[in-house]
Amino acid sequence: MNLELPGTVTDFAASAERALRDAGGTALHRHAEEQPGWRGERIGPLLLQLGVADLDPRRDVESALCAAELCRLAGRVALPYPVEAALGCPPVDGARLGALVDRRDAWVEHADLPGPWLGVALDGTARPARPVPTDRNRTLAPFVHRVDLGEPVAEVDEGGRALLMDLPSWRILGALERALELAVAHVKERRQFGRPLAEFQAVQFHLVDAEVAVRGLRQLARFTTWRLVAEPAAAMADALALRSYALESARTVLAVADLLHGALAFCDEHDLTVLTRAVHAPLRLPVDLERTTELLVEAVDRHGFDGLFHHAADGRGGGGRAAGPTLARRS
Amino acid sequence: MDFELGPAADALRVHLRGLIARHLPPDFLGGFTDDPEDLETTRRFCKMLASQGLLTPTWPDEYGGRDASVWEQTVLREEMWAHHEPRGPQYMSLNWVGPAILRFGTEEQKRYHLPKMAGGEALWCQGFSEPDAGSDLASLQTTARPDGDGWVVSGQKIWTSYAQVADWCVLAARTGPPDSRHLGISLFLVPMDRPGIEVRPIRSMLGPHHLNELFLDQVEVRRDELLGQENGGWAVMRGVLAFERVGIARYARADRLLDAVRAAVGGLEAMPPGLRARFARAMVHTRVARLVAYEVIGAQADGHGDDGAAAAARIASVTGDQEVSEVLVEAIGGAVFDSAPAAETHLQAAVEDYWRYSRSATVSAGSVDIQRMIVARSVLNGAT
Repeated sequence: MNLELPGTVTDFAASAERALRDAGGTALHRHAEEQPGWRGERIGPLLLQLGVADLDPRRDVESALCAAELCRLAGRVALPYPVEAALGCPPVDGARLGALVDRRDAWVEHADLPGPWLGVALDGTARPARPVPTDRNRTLAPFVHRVDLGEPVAEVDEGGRALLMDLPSWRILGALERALELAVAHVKERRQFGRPLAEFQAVQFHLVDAEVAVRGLRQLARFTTWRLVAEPAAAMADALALRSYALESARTVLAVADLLHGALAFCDEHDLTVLTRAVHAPLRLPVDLERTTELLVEAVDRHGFDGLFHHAADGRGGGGRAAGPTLARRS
Repeated sequence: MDFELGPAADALRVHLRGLIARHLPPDFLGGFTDDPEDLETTRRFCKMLASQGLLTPTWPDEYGGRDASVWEQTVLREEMWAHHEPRGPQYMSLNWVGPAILRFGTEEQKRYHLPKMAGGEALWCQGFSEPDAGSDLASLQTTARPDGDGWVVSGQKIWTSYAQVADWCVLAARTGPPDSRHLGISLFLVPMDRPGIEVRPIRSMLGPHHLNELFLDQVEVRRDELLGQENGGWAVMRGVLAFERVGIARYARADRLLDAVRAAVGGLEAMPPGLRARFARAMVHTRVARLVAYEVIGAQADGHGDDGAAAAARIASVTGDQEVSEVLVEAIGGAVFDSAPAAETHLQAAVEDYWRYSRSATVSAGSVDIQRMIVARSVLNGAT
């Protein structure tokens, strides 16, 4: 058991964080909203400099964690670029960007950027995806586009789908970490009733709810990503569990951050607004919390949910369940 | 990064499950039931564990341990708690009384007490809470008045688990002035048969032995029974209670019963839609509770544990425990009423027991709101 991120991963993350900060942080998102074409011109090359083209999260645990950390850092600054789609794109001829889609209602973030794009349905069928011009309100998830899906070109296995499910959860983690940091800074500074908000226990307990959620999400994200590479037997159940927890945590953390910031939370000038609007895409796509949970239910019934707790090792030479009780009904 | 517990810990898990299967009755629900034989089972089980060096495995060899890793200790805690804690009250010896003596005790205290704990020969209780000092423990009023080379202790304790059966008590008493709060508290290692100690059980839905009152009337305490420094009891408590916060592997029983109930009712998809979603999320929350506990255990083993992380892990653990108790009961439905202690109804009895006991999860060993205060302090001071 070693729960520390490897040095290569922390070094990579530190240089990526520096590069994103030096490039402007959340200002990148504001700029891209004004000039959407700027994403490909400016941010694509920035990520290439960080070595994204050579980063294959399927290679080993370290590569997977580097990819995951990059997604987390992208979430922290609401980076307007499909990092997960580039990192997690299945190895299908010609495809450069890939995303999971709900075939009944297919939307993809940044689908207007040059691909070619691959839309991977939840059953694994992969199809070319092309954006459909829509005149939508772009306040929430401003870079999301409805897509048309072509004829199937490949089948993506469960591990490949699990990776596409896993990486966006890291972006959500990054957004939530940053939202909590902003809330902590704000309640230390903002004074009401003659003292900082941070001195009110009601305020403190809100922060604790958010902190417990973020801490848990961080550990679950690391565990899940490690397991997708090291022990991928139940990859989809693991990735869905992570997504389900990420979506639940987002409800808690964003609600706390909004509440503690007051009306400032909704003002365009504040970074919290940018984070909230940007993270809406990975929160809703490919499916939201209720549908994610339904998929988790199916996956758990199919694969079980042992994790680190091996129910089958019963000390009687393997096989049966530990002291496996049944539900008896006495007549 | 590697989440595998390692071959020694994995082998220990299998070995412990074998011991459980062979030495516990199939309807075992812990030592604190209305059947006195269950408590006897825990005594025998502890002796058997002790004979294999498994009661206090992480302690140094010279005090009855076998220098095992924290991950082996974690597996021990998980398997014991998952199977209704067949060590009875003796889990406390491993979790914090023993570590407190190891860290703060005199050599004489270590040599006297630790081998007894390691051998499964001593039951301990903890005399901390008082009628007017619960979460605000620093306001405790039980007084240790200097008398010759020792003290005379008078006062009242309450909620003292296992006091009826304990041989020894870690007793907190005020040795400083009445207003000295946490700077005037000392801890004593006192035998429960000392004249002046009276125990009165408090009946509760948790079962016998969980709650007692402890009356102390002119109890003589010797200087060599002082644990740590005079007026230094708070430092001892702070030093070891962070370990206690991850000392009970609640997630392990949750995990085991979630799996068993899911299988027993025919899978999640056999449950009503609303329930199966909540049940699945409870499974995820249980996984998270385990992982945040592991984070704390790993950090403590490396010598850089922090109070905020330990308190956050405890919040995840105890709130998850109550969430799990609800979905378990809902999943088995009316069977929860049909829970007489018998092998064939063991699962519903286990669920019924789980629900009752989980009521105390957010209260016992420091209320969850105190843990929230600790996390808040940590977050606002930037320690996380």
